[in-house]
Amino acid sequence: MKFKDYYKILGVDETADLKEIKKAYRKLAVKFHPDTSGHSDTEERFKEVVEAYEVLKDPTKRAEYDELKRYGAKSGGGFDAPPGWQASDGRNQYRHQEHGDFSEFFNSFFADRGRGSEHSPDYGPDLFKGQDLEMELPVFLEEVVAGTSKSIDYHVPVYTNNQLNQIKKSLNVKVPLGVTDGERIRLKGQGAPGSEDRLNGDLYLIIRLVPHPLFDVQGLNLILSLPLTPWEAALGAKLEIPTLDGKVKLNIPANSRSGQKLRIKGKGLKNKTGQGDLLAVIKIDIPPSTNSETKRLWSELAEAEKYNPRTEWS
Amino acid sequence: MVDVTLYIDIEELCENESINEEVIVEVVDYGIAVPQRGGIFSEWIFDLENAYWIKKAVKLNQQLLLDWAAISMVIDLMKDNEKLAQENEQLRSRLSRLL
Repeated sequence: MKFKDYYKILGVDETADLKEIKKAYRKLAVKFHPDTSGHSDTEERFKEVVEAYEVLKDPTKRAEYDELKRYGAKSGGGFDAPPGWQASDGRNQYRHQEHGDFSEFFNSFFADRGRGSEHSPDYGPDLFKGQDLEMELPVFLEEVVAGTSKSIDYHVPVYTNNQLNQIKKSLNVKVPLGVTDGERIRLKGQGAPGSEDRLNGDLYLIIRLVPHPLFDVQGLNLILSLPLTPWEAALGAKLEIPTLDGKVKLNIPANSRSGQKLRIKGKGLKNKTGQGDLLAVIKIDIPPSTNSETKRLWSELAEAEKYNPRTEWS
Repeated sequence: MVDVTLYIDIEELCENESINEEVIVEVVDYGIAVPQRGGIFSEWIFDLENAYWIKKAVKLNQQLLLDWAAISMVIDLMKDNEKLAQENEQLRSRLSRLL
């Protein structure tokens, strides 16, 4: 087992008082916290800092740690508990309640005195309930509309014989109708197992809508880019356009402009709060190449129509 | 088939996450989370989005030792950031279709 130098981790002297320890912890916690640091790779450092603070803020744990440090630390970072060493609460090194986020060193000596102890009734890590797990669930728009079921595979961290193992689990989940990107759904009790008679953690699925080749999503509305030829935009047209449940006919009014939105009621996504629409956004597209006849016709049009779209520039 | 839960009541939230009821009242008072069903405190239920922010607020309180006013501000900024990132992604996707 590797010895953890909690004083070094927090960058404080062994004689530091609680105020100094707290100050050092706050500084490092803000620096490495995954939510505030802006970097996801600081999580391991953050856990180390929390672990160190968890021990050093508590006078009893700190006294035990100092004793372990004095007699058990070996050169090269190795560690053996002093012979016959026993914690002040009467339990010796290997205990049952462990914290998946902390080191083997912490779990062996300090793990089962967190929440609920007389020293920290409201704070400190949750040492009992199974760990909640989070994973992303990619969902196709067609599945959002149909509310289909999906099979998921994931790994659950489980402690057996003082070792962390990953157990593979499979579940069949019904995707609720009209879920949106980033929405969370909870599968109660499907996270990591709780210790002894404690509750299992939950599994949270974060919905990630798979980008659709045709549609973008904005709330419950779907957005479709609708390419039109210049003459369709000028003269108007009757077109069939795709929706998530087949094609519908759409009248393009004459003199339609690029960027104009045409609303098709009730063809968006649907959930308990309402029903969205499909918005077709016009994009005027000209033919990629022109022959001499087309060029002549464009020139005629330019002569006949004196329209200047850049009048605001002058 | 596993049941999907979309709401969580206050009792379960307190028990599962080892959060005191007073802490949840504090979080709601600061506008960090809003119960989906108001009225009597014991009948509060939260959607998972709000339950997520409650848990996040409690963690920030424990881990960064911040007071609730500071947490409220941090959470507001985190929500804004999340919303802007999502909008940005949507707009990027739409722009690529229009160009």
